[in-house]
Amino acid sequence: MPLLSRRMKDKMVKYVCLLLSAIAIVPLFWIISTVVINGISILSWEFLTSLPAPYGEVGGGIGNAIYGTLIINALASLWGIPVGVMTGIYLAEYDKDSRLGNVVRSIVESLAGVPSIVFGVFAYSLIVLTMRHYTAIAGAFALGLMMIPLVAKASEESMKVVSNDLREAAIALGIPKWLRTIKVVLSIAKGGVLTGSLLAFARISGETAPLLFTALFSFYWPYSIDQPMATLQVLIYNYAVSGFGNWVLKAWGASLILVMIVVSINIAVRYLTKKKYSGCE
Amino acid sequence: MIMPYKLEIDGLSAWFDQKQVLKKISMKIPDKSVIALIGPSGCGKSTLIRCLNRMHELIPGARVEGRVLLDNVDIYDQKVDAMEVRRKIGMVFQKPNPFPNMSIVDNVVAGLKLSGKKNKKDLMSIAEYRLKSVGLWDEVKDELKKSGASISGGQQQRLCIARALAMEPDIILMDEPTSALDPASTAKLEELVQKLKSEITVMIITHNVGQAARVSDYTAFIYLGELIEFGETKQIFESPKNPLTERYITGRFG
Amino acid sequence: MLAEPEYLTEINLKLKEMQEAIRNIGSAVQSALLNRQKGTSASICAMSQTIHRIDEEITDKCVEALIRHQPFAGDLRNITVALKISYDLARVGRYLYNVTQIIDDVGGEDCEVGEISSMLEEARDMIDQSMNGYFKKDYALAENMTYRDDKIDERYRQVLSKYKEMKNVKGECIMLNALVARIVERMADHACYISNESLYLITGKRQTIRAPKCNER
Repeated sequence: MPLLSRRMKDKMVKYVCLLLSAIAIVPLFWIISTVVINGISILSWEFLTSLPAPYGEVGGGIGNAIYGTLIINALASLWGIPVGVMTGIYLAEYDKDSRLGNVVRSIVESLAGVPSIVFGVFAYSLIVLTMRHYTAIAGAFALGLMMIPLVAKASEESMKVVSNDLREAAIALGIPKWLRTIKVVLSIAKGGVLTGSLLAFARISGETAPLLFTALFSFYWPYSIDQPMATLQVLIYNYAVSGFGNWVLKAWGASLILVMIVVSINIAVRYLTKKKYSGCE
Repeated sequence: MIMPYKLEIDGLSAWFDQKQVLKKISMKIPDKSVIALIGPSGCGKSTLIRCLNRMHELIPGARVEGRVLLDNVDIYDQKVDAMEVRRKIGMVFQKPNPFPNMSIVDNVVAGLKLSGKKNKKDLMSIAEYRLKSVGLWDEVKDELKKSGASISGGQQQRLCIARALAMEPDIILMDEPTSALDPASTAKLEELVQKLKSEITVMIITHNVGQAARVSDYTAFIYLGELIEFGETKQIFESPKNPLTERYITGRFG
Repeated sequence: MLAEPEYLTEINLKLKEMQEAIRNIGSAVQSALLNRQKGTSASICAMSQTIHRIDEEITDKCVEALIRHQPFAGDLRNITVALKISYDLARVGRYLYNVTQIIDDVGGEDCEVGEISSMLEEARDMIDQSMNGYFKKDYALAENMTYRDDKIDERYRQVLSKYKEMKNVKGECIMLNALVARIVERMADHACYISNESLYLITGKRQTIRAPKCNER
């Protein structure tokens, strides 16, 4: 008697878990399929490489937005990733138990929870107001700031996991701390750091709010980072609510591109981490 | 016969915060010999050797008093650079710890490379020489580019010894180097230790009293942070002077 | 006192067996000498063989202990001492047998044997006491053995000089006395060696406190 109900309980739990997982996965597939269905029709070489046409006209494309997204993301990474990694190194290797270290860690963790629009406002008041015009630099600044806690956390965690035995081995060889940290610990942790950086990159690829009043938007090719710049996110935002059918369609297409970028980064991360576990030893 | 003392430990005491773990240890260690440190677990042996290569002080709350003279220079003197001490007094750990992100060759010369030595040819010949002297060369010469962590435990430990030797230390400290190895690797390592003593002094911590008897020229028995007895291995194992030593060696402890 | 490992207990039991056997041979030989009894050598021989058998068993047990237990310090010294003492006792057994052989070969029913009898008794007691000293780890007893040995040496020399000078004595009497005295002197030396080993076991030093005269090995 009790055996039967135990088996039944097992099955019940199994089915409940499956059901809940399905509920979780369904929206993802729904979104992706919606984007694909709606956006695939507008994809073309012209779409991907030309400037937007004026309101009301069909044709043109989102070339500058793609370009702009890549530029701004690159700029953001240029300062967000190094600062994040340095912070991670600091938290993992220096002052890990001290009060200052704990304070820094708390700040970093809080930063991760700040709403993205606040970063936008901050960048706006710091840079846009000072420079007196909208600029991509401000956008990159805001996005970079958002990357820092993610990269720092990932770096710290992957460095923490490095076995202390290896640090001791380096110490016993008379290697100074900074060299140990870079050539031994960081070197071993580089997988985790890279993963964290890629994920942070994917994250900011989707952030729109901070760009709304920093990089703003543009209908032209990016020619200076000190000027407003088009990005996929802002383009989608503008076109989706425009009411112009062709622009809405273009918004779907841009969404598709954006989703493809983010998904491919995530797949790349999967591949990299899998390789670590199955390959070497 | 005047024995040249390579290392002289003079009144060495050590603390972890308030707890004293080493109590005024004094020993005179001759050059080019093997010294075994024996004694029950947790009685200070590891702490002692970490005081010799100045690793003990890296632990928060750790403190050291007394002198340790290497070739008549106190390694704890203000003017002495701790990292320089560690280059002269190398250490091999209980669990083999080769760098997994470096090849076998790079592991051997890791200390040198990170100290600034760049010449690839020199580094390669040093690596070959050291791998040969620990008896690893023939076993790994076809896979030198493989990760240092891809070889067996016994081989890894010998690699760590080669890595330590590449720094040309005066003394090499070994913290229970065979406790994680199988009997065949243990025997190889013991043989290696015997070979090494013609070049440098080796201090080896061991839980295995038989190993101490097999491998060492001098034996020190440490109990509860104190040096109970220190002498020639033959004398210690034939007729120890201290009854505590007798009890430990004959397995009547506890 | 440290608890004795089992293998040592077994070895010591065998040594006790040997001590007992020596006592038995000793008293048989003692009466054979007093009565100048011929023909005893056959039965004594069997007893002597027993002693050699036990010696082999002790050697075997010691080797096994070395292999299995790899003893150190006091335990190790005990093994080497046991090996040596076992050999000494076997020699003593042999010497006792030699006495009966001499009686058989030389005869001497009419000879005076008072002194050599008494010396034999003393030597037998010395052997017995040296063994007791070993079992009890009695330092004083072991150290004292050299004095007794000195006395036996003296009495041996006196026997020799007496029979050297003596006139009108049968050849067989001279031979009997001289040969037995010589054997007894060797037995006493072995008692001394056994005590020497006991001292090494107790102190761990190969030097004895008083430089012994028993260094003829």
